[in-house]
Amino acid sequence: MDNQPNPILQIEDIRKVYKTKGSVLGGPGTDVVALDRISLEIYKGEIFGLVGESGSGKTTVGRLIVSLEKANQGEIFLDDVEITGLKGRALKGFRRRVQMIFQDPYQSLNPQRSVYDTISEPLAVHAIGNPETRQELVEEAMKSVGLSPPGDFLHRYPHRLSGGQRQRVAIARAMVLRPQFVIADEPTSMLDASISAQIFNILLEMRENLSVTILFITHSLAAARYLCDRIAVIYRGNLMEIGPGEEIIRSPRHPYTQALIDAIPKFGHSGEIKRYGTLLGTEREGTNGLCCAFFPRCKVASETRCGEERPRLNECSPLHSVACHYAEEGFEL
Amino acid sequence: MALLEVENLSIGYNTKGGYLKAVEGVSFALEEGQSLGFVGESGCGKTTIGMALMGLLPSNGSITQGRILFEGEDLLEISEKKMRQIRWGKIAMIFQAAMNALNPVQRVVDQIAEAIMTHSPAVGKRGAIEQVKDLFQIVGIPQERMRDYPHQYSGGMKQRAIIAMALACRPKLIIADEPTTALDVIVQDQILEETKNLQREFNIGMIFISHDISIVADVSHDIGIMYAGQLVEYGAREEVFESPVHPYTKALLSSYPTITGDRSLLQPIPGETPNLIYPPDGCRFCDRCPGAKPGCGEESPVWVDVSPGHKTLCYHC
Ligand SMILES: Nc1ncnc2c1ncn2[C@@H]1O[C@H](COP(=O)(O)OP(=O)(O)OP(=O)(O)O)[C@@H](O)[C@H]1O
Ligand SMILES: Nc1ncnc2c1ncn2[C@@H]1O[C@H](COP(=O)(O)OP(=O)(O)OP(=O)(O)O)[C@@H](O)[C@H]1O
Ligand SMILES: [Mg+2]
Ligand SMILES: [Mg+2]
Repeated sequence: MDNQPNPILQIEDIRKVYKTKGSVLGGPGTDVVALDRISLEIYKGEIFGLVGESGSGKTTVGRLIVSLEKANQGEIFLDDVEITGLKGRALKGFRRRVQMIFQDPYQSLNPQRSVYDTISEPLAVHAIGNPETRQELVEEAMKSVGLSPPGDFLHRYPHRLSGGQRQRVAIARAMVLRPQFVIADEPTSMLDASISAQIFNILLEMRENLSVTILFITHSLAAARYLCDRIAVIYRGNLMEIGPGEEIIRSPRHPYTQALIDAIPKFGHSGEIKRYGTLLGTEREGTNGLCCAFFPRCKVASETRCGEERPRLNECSPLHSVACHYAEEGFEL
Repeated sequence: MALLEVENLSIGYNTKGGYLKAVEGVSFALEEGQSLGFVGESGCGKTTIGMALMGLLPSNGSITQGRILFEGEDLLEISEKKMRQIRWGKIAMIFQAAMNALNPVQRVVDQIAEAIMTHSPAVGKRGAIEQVKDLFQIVGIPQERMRDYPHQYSGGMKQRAIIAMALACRPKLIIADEPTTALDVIVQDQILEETKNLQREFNIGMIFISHDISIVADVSHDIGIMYAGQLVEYGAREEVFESPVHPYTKALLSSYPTITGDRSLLQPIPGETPNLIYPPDGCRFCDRCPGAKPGCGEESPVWVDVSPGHKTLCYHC
């Protein structure tokens, strides 16, 4: 990357609320705030990691970017063009430039369609090429994800593919249109280590050779560390920390990031398993909307400050920002 | 008597290309309340073993040899009627594609209550719903989300609902096929911790199947490393992780990204897994093995004892 980061995607003050059914006792339906006023920028050519626990809103970010979902508030820009208002041809062009690879290769592939049908479908939708050139494009995409020789796989159906092969088909399908921006939503969470390592390396190569920008969604800090230039950590729809990957891992400034790091069973090449103490406390009540999102579980939080005032995202070092009242003075376990 | 004893089990599938030997000569035992983890590459046969234990192999699958002794009884010999009582009642499975296992048009609470009532009709609807409440507490889903439909859950919540479902009938054995793969570490940590407690409390035997070594390392007393349909290393967790001997185990252990140490390029294991319709003679890992010796590709490897309880299917390591 150049020194002057060049944003390709900007998310500004996005809020997304889902409605759910009421309780068994017939209480009113509750609103789930999936994303609570998130802003971030993704730079051209980088692999950007979005890390957070289950339900933190990671997939929602992806779905908003590809317009599968509409935000209740806020704007999203791709190359300085606001995307929610896109219609007609502009929308079609946008859909071609932005692709998403989904979390679950078991769900995202249509069992009735062969590998060829699956990967060539976007070409048909966008009326690109004729049957021959389509076959070429499909085979090229397959080779780029290591499904080779393509002839061995073209006419197979998903039930005859292993999990890793399915996910490679899903990646080939996303890549066949040569998108500028790809969202990979936990693309290897169903796969074993060696295959994940291959897919990670495929994503690194894609970035290198096809100059694509990648938003990599994961719950694994280790995977994010391996792949990403920058990492953002979200918690219950709130952006807690964002910065250069290695810096986030080595010197996290947010207690939640630290807790995430601590919860990973660590075993190195020696195979030993270590556990660290954690900054997770027992759940306590917080005044919703007012307190820090992590206040209910944070061990270092103070009732007066953290319980009553939501911290803003502040820069703590170049490119590294954190939303914690204690980020400056630091915290101890 | 062991809760489960699997002896020399071989399983295959009829496919267009021929008979695919998915599992070959696998043996292991599990004591009541103990846990066993299987780790290995995609397609190595982990799910196939789980499905065979549940008596749920697809119609093109068949068991060609071996025995599955559960509480002393060979599951391959009993009637389907008997098997239906054991399945879910005594042996439950958390499926790999679990996120889709929930019925999309039925409220989660009703699905689990139904599972409970099928196996113990005496409980009644009200009692079943009470039990579901407890289960939700155990797996950590807020009670006010009980009446949601599955699509309203995040991936992790669906997975937890599935775990609640598996626990619903208080089985003796749970086979958990990638139970927490879609979850973040903190929730995973909590679920694994809860699972360990439940296991202890109700004396449940667990078989964890995962590609994620860290999960298996965390919860299993014994570990089996699988490659291309065979067990290649087996032993107590500490032994296998701290002193791995099989070259595949070693390669697997070093293909994980870590958050400690240097950020070096991951080395996926070179080459491909062998074709299981025409498996190679000799050691199946031979083509990809950095330590292969002349002869490895011809003679079938035999089990070698490394230390008591720790063995490996390789005579050169
Ligand atoms: N269609 C929906 N209706 C109601 N609530 C929803 C819907 N989709 C998502 N949610 C809720 O929004 C929140 C964020 O969900 P999202 O799927 O973005 O999380 P995630 O970070 O991707 O989680 P996971 O790691 O489990 O996939 C969760 O609380 C979820 O239950
Ligand atoms: N219904 C089926 N028909 C034909 N072959 C099958 C069938 N199910 C599985 N196989 C093959 O059997 C082998 C073992 O598959 P299995 O699903 O048990 O692997 P796994 O270890 O669970 O892999 P993963 O980690 O990808 O889930 C694979 O080669 C697979 O392609
Ligand atoms: Mg998600
Ligand atoms: Mg499987």
